[in-house]
Amino acid sequence: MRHSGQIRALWFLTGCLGIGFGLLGYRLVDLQVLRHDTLALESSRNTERRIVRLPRRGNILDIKGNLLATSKPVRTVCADPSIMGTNYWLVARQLAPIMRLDENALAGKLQPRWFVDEKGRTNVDKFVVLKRKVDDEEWMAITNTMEHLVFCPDEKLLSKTRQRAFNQIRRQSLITQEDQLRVYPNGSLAAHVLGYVGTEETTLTNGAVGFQIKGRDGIELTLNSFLEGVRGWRQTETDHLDRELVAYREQDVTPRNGYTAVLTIDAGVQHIVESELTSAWEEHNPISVACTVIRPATGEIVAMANLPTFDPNNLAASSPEARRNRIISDIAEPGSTFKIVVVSAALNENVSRLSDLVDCERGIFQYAGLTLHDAHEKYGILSVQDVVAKSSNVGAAKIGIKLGAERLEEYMRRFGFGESTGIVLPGEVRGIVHPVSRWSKIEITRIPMGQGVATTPLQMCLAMSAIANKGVLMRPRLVDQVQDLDGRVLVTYPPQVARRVVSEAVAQQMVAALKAVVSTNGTGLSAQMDYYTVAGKTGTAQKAAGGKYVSGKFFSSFIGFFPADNPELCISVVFDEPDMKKGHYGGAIAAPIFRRIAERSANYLAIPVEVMRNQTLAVTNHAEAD
Amino acid sequence: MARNHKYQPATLRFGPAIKAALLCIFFGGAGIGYVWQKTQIQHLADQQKRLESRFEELHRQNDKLMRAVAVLCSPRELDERVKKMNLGLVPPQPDQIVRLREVAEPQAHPGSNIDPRSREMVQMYAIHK
Repeated sequence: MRHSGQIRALWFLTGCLGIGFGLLGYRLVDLQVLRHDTLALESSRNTERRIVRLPRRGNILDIKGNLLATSKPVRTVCADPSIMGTNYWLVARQLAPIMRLDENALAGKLQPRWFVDEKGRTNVDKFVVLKRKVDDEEWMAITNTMEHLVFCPDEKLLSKTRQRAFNQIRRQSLITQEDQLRVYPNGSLAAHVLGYVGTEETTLTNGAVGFQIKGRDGIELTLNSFLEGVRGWRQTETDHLDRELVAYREQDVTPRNGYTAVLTIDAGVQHIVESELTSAWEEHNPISVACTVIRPATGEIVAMANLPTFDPNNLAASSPEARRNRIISDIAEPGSTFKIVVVSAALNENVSRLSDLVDCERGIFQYAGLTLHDAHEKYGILSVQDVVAKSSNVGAAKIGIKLGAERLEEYMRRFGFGESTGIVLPGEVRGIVHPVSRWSKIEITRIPMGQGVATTPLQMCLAMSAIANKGVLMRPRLVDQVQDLDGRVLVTYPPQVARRVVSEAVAQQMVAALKAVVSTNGTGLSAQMDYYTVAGKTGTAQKAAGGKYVSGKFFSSFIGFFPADNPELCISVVFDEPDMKKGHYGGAIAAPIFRRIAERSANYLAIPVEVMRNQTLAVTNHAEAD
Repeated sequence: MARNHKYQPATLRFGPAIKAALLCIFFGGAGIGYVWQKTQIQHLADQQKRLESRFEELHRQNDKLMRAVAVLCSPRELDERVKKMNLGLVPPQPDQIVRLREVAEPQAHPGSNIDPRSREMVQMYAIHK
């Protein structure tokens, strides 16, 4: 009996074991075969990660290697509200002052939220962005606060489950994503050249959304493809705390960081220009004031500044008006500075010589039923050189009539008006140069004095640079080279000749005439420098609105270069509506600013002096030479 | 005699014992080797992670210092510091600058051992004079 009982027990045990193993076998088949695909997918989703590694955006340097724009690694701080439970208020109270966020808004983000997905299942939101662009110091303060969060006076008295929940909040509730912040160490310096960046949503890790920096204006936009770099990625696995298991890393492609762009801008000259414009702004209270500094021989833009300006580090505080680069995007009638075009054309076409005499009709000239006036004084008979020096509108109109409409239009286009200069900045406008077929009868008298044509300040500065550069118009050059991370040069942008505008001899004659402008005989005496001879032209253009000129509103400008016979820099200063109380002529307002900028820049760039202090500047009288 | 000796039941058979021992050593060694290798991989992975973190940290510090240098060297910052420290620094006027012309290298007399670098010293001396 005992024997058979034992056998039964044995059979029973065997049966139980068999059933047990059978169930285990079924479970095994169920997991490994029947539900293999689903579970394998879930498993890989839990552990495998494809991490997109964003490249660091490249630097922008000035011509001397000073840093103008760089990128700072920062973080986007995110939270998992699902593990906060009812403690979100306490966490928000502790974090809000450190993250400089509103406590209520932060608590609202940390509060667990449920939502129903497309399959009708109720889920809890596990990802919320708390703050972007958090730097290392702030992140360290956040993690320190989280580690020392106190949920109750004596946690040891609480149950293990609650202790675990609190520890989970401390260690796992906050996560970060890598991000970068564009930093401009010089603040608003060259802001209109550098431009600014914006962010764009991008997929980062397993479908999670992140942000990538993209250029939005200026060099940041035009050189975006060089600056942004190429993404890398990492195929790897993580543990339950989402920490990477390096041993299981399968692919690791390093991102290629963005290249470095070296500009032709010189931060020192740019600072000089901006500080002088700031003091001019305070003195004359205009709507805007702009300055461009160009090396005539190469077309290099050494400085380009506009006021009002903005700080690209704090874009939100600026208005769209302040962000506009007026030097390339605003057009206006240039006024008397445009006389250089008609006189150069007349000299080049042998229509006139500098010594030829022009009857300026005592400042009142009737043509096609309209009366043209001289702005400064009423002149009688002047030489062509004096027409330039004294800026006689009647004289310029008569030279224009002598030259003829077709040739005037041809030279306007030769000087680059009515077309893009080719500067590597977005938003450049071409200006307005009407074809001769659309000219009215009086255009031939108005255009020589800078009316009936619209130009950008950059076009005018380049035209003057062409005269300084022996009659050769250069393309504006703003980018010197592109380098890789080790400083190896990848691309260089050599100076580019646009075309010859006038002959070298004519350019020399024009220099002589423009030197006379900056003398006691001319309108631009205030531009005279102590150690250098200056050649330049003043301009005062009445503003137009609603198809007619507005009284009391002017564009005042001065464009000049120095040393006159071997020019190093060509500088243009343009005021939009300066305060009338302190004068409105270019010679009175813009010329002194030109002089201050030119003297400080010459000193900074160590341009060899031509004449010593108190020596009289001998202005070559070309008429006499002729 | 030898044949009979071979088939004695009490005699220890070394061949199979060695084979068994070798197999044990092989499998044991393979097992231990596998574990050792896995430990090494883990160890190297940890090391790699540490080095990567260190590299990133150094890179961040380098960037931070570079930015600090850029801020300190910015013309605006320098201007403000000069004003704040009231040092009275102004740019030199053009007539205060002495410009030295590059002179042709002097022809050394045969046998003389003038260091070409002495040219620089001559120029410096000229300034003091």
